[in-house]
Amino acid sequence: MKVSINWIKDFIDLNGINIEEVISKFTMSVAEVETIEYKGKDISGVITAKIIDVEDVPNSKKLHLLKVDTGSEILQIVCGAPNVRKGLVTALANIGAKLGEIKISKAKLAGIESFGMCCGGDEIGINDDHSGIVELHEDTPLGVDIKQILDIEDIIFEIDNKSLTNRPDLWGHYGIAREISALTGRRLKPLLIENIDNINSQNEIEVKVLSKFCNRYTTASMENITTKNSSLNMQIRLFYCGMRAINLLADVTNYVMLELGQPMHAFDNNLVKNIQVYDIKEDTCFKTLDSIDRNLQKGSMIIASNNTPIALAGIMGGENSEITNATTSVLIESANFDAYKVRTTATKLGMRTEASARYEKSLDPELTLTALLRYIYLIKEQDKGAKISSKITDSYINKYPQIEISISKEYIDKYVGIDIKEATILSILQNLEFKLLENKNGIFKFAVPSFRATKDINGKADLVEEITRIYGYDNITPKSIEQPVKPALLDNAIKLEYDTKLTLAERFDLNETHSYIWYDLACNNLLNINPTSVIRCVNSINKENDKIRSTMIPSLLKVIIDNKNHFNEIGTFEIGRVVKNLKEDNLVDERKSLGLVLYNKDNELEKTLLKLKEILNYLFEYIYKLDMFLILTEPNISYYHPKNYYKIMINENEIGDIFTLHINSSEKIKENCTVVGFEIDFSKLVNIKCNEVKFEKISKYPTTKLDFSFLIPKNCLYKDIIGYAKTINTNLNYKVSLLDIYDNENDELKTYTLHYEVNSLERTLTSQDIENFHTAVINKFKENDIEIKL
Amino acid sequence: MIDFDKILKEAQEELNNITSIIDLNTFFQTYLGKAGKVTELMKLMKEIPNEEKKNFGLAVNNLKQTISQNIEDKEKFFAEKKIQDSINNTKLIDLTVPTNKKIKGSLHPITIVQEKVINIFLSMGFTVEDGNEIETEYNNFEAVNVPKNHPARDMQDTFYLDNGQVLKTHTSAAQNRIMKKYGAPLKAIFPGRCFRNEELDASHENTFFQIEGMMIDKNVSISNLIYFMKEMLTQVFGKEIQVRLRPGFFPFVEPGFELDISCPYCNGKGCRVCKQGGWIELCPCGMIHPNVLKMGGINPDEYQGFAFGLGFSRLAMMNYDITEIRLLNSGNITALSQAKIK
Repeated sequence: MKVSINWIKDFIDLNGINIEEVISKFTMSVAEVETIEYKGKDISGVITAKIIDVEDVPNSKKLHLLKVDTGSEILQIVCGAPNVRKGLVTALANIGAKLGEIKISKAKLAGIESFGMCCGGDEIGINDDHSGIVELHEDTPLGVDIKQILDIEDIIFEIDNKSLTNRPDLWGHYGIAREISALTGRRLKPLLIENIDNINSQNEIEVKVLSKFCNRYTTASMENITTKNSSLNMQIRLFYCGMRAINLLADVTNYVMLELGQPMHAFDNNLVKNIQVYDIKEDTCFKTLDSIDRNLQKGSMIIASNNTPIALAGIMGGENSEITNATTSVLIESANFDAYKVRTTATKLGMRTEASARYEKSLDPELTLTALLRYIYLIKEQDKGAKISSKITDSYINKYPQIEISISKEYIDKYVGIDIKEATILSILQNLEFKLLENKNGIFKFAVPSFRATKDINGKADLVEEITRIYGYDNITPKSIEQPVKPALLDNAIKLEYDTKLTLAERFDLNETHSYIWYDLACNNLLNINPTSVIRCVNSINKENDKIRSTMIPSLLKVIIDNKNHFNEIGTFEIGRVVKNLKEDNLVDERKSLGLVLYNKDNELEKTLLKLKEILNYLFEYIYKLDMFLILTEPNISYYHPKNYYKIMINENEIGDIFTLHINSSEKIKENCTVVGFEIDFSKLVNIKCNEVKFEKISKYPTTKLDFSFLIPKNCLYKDIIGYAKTINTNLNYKVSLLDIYDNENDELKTYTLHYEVNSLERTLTSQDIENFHTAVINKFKENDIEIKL
Repeated sequence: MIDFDKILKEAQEELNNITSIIDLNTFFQTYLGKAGKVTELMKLMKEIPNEEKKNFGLAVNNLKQTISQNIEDKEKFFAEKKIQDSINNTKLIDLTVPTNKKIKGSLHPITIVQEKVINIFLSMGFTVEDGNEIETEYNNFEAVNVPKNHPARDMQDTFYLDNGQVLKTHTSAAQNRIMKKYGAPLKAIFPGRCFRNEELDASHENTFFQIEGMMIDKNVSISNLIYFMKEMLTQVFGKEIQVRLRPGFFPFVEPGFELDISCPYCNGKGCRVCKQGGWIELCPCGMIHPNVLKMGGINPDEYQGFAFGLGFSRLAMMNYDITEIRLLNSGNITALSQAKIK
């Protein structure tokens, strides 16, 4: 919202106050000021002057040769504007005048000398009208600096609208002035309005409010209005604040809106005699005054006259009742509509207007009458002949309750953390028009002014805000809490997450990436994969990418695709969120998932899978401290290769899987490349109790080392072999590890060599002990149909 | 007559020519071994007439001792020479040459910044909580005082899912759950990824990271909020930071603030980053709205507290001088790996 300092000065005397300081205070205490514009500073040397003679310029269709009276001399001016005429008082830029970047000098147009330039409104910055030169009142004194006649000089500051969301009272200059009054201590002047006692017409406008979303409808009519345009100074204010002048009756509605925040509408009183407010029962087509046919959905609230729609309540009037050049009487609407109703209708129609933007902030219904009386006052000021032609009809249906809040100084001090004097508290709130109802036993009881009571201020904390922001946040001394600060412990799950990431990056040279929570359809199509999804986003930015992922792998495959041209090998991972299921209550079962993918541009399956296994082992042994084993099985995911697919198990729990990307997909990345990876349900993992490291007794007697080579069927897995190897029937201490694997394609069987270290805690082993142990190992394997290699 | 001097002279000449420990052993055998020359001389003792025995004995002993001594010296010489040779033969290794092994892996910039910030908060006594990315509308809006129909819901364009849940629009969505879980007093932060339905450009992402913090106790005040934010941000930026509060409207706090920091790049003097203003708008914060406490099961008449939301993506961008927010979710390894691991 744009604010004019000239306008503010109508309500507060700012003499002797630095305006920049006021604006800066406003930012620090009310709402953020985004920009400050200094209007008219770059205009100089423009005076009032009267055209006393107009001649056509030979050989030119547009140009005229003018004689212009500046009060002290007659100048010859060449001018191209169509509205030049004898007797017109206009703005003349003298030689040497500055109009922004332009400096006026003596010029020759069509061979004729011109000693200055008659200015259009756009040239002196008061509007964007380039169709003609400025037309001043015929009584305007001549030779006077234009800035003394028109309020060209002004300071306009713009407030971030977002920061005014909760402040309906700040959507007009009067409300802004009230804040500045509280900040500067200068008195806020009362608004000049028509005296309601002067309204004595017996005519009554019939108003029927049938919609529950209309809180108040206030209306009156005026007649005998002959002035067509608002004053230039009014037009300048509207323009500086971002609106355009249209005609007097419409301009004043906008002017009052910019002043009080109350949107108004002017109907041609010849076309509108009575008013009904209701929600339409069926979809209706309606032409708004911007000449666009709108399809109003049933339920939209409209204003009608004789049951014909004439306005879209709170948003825009209709073309059928708009003010025209012929209008001489007006029916004025000053109403209060429900914020949500206006907002939803406006959103549905995709039309956010100045009016709807204000209504959706929950305006104070008390405003409607004040705004109406202000409108009448301003029309009478602009057109002396205008008369009130009806009584005021005021249907006030829904009144907000008065809000009273009791607060103690003790509460305020505790909330703020410093001691604010009682007198300061009281004067701040009273300057903001909070009414002190009672001050007893250290408790103040305040009535919240109606313009703050529609939703903004409800409780004690709101009053603390009012007090502190005006008091100045900079005046609050920072202070540590009274309780001693003790360092906190980091949650194990969060620690494991970081440890995992660091290990993968530091030890295994992998790169962490982040991806979106939805699948990238283009990428999935490219890979020819269709991963499962149980839930979709109904308003995704890209309609195609609406499926929430149930696995991390497609996101990581996208990283491979996007980076493959720059690397021979890629290893990337992410701990992200996936949704595999909906719970019984239909809410998502959101889980953290660790996905990891390795890529090699060549066919290096074994090497890459073994690296993957090494990573997995390291994580489980040193980071998670869990005994993990793999189960070879067949994947039920179509884009995983049918071979070399393992489930990652802890005890009976499946915690993830290891896969090779199916050749159908991997060849889309690069022919003959290798893509493998694993995915671990991290949410599940962090909840499994990890192994605690307990020191075992170390034998002081010598250890004997024994190696065994076993002939093993090719489909038999190490996890089974090590299972047998660890369950030897003996009372000696032993440890076993894999020493070597020999697996020749041509042989029927593969050879695993196991390495045993055997000892006793009590004594040195005898050769008989060794012999017995040897036999026990061989027997164990024999039981499982595995022969020792001799 | 036996010429002891001659024997000694011969022996010493021989010894001088010995260059290895093996030859020295042979020499020892030759003179002092069981059948050595000196040993043989000693065996002659019994054949020597009594009156000469004494002199002969002295002479043989003398010879034996001298040769022994000479052998010992030679041994010492060999031992020293061995060490000296080993030292001389040790290769000089130029450690000033750059080594090749580099860590090629990398953490995401967000992970690194998050780790740093988490540790700062732990040291200030805040526990770290984890939140969901998919939340109920209630937790995301109602529970933080944004009722249905509230225009604040327009301020953030929300991604809705077909089961009615939302991708959380702010980390505040976890406030209610955490208050219910722990009650008061409470000091917690909760980092998380948030989503807003926005068009992407250099400074807007639909998926970004925030960190939310809450501190609730009987006397937690605005003054404490300023103190904590100042100390925390000083730690984050690693230099003294000034903070200032401006009014800001957020439904879940009352009063609500926009917190500005003195520009860490120019120390508030004015530069490109702070657009010459000396201040950077950094994070919304405020005193937790009594309604929010109430909905979290905490009595607002007894407890009060502050909350803040810090943009992690923004912080990471400031930290690494990243000008394109889209880079963070791009998966561009070449660019992202510049963050390394710390």
